[in-house]
Amino acid sequence: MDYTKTFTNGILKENPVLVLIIGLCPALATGSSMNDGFGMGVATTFVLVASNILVSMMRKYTPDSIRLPIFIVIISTFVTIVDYVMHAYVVELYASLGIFIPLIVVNCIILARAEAFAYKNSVFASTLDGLGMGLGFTLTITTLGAIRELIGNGTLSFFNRELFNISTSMNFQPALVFIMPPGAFIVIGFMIAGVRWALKRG
Amino acid sequence: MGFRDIIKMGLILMTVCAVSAGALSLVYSVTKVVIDENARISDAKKLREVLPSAANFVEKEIKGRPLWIGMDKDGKEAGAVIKAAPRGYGGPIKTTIGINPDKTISSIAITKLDQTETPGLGVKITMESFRGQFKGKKGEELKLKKDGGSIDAITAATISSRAVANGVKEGWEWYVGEGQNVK
Repeated sequence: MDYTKTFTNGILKENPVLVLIIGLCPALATGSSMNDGFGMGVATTFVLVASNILVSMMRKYTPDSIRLPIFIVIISTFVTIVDYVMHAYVVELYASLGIFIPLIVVNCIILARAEAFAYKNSVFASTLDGLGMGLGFTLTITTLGAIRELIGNGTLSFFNRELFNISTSMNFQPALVFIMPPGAFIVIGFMIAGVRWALKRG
Repeated sequence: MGFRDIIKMGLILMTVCAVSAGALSLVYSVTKVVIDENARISDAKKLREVLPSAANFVEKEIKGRPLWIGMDKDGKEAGAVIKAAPRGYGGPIKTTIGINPDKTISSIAITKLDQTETPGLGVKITMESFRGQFKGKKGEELKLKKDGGSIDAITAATISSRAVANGVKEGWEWYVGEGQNVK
């Protein structure tokens, strides 16, 4: 097995959002600013890696016919534990990421990778797959958030800090529609087209 | 699938669920203590934040609604703090409201953990640029401009903005009406 490929697959060639078109709901819902996009990406990557590892470890003891309910129990238990622990011990981080954690349960990337990859592969390969897919998701949703925030709000924010504000410094009039759901579809459409074009050219 | 298999699958599923439930309740009971303690510290911090002129607070209660009387360091009354939880777009918005002795709003506090409004839009009610508008105001001023008051709504987040404004106004009216008579 080519481990490098396992890792890099998720970044572009099998990018979950832009190529596999899964996990669109959290990407569109939370990618309204660079800051929130990055936060959701990091939280998802963490859960994805951990759930891949757990599912891969348990794959030999999981009967085929009931694997889906078992995956769902494992994933939602793990996400809830992460939610409690973060809320208790890293309150600062929880204040900005906390709203995304429950959304991760419904993020189909997690279940899709458990089913399509971790259930059939070793723990090491599953970890790499989780990292690669997570990185691809994070890059996509951060870029999506940055574009939407810049056009829709005239700002760019990162680590809960505003980097710059072109609506006050350059008198830019933000197009609010980009922060709202239609803007998410418009931007993601262009991003999918861009990635398709890039992949087709080589 | 035979009868034996069905029983076997059921037992495996039950084991997985039981282990998960056990792990969850364990983590919950351990973290609950810490979370409650954090919330207590954060609540105490918010009291000082919305009424900086007070050195300590005395908790009172009128008809089940709590109220904190602020005392300055000479023991003189320095205003009061009340709470409100108006319904926003995504659930209740827990608002802490400080009221000066002259019955104007001293300041209001809403942290990110106090609300569940839309990221990027409604969540801006937690920003000082919105909350700061309430300072020094009272009565009918505590309404959105489009409702005849003096508070600027956040663009594309009118429901969240209106919820906060109406929540503050309702709390203020309660305080002026009966809250301030507490002794």
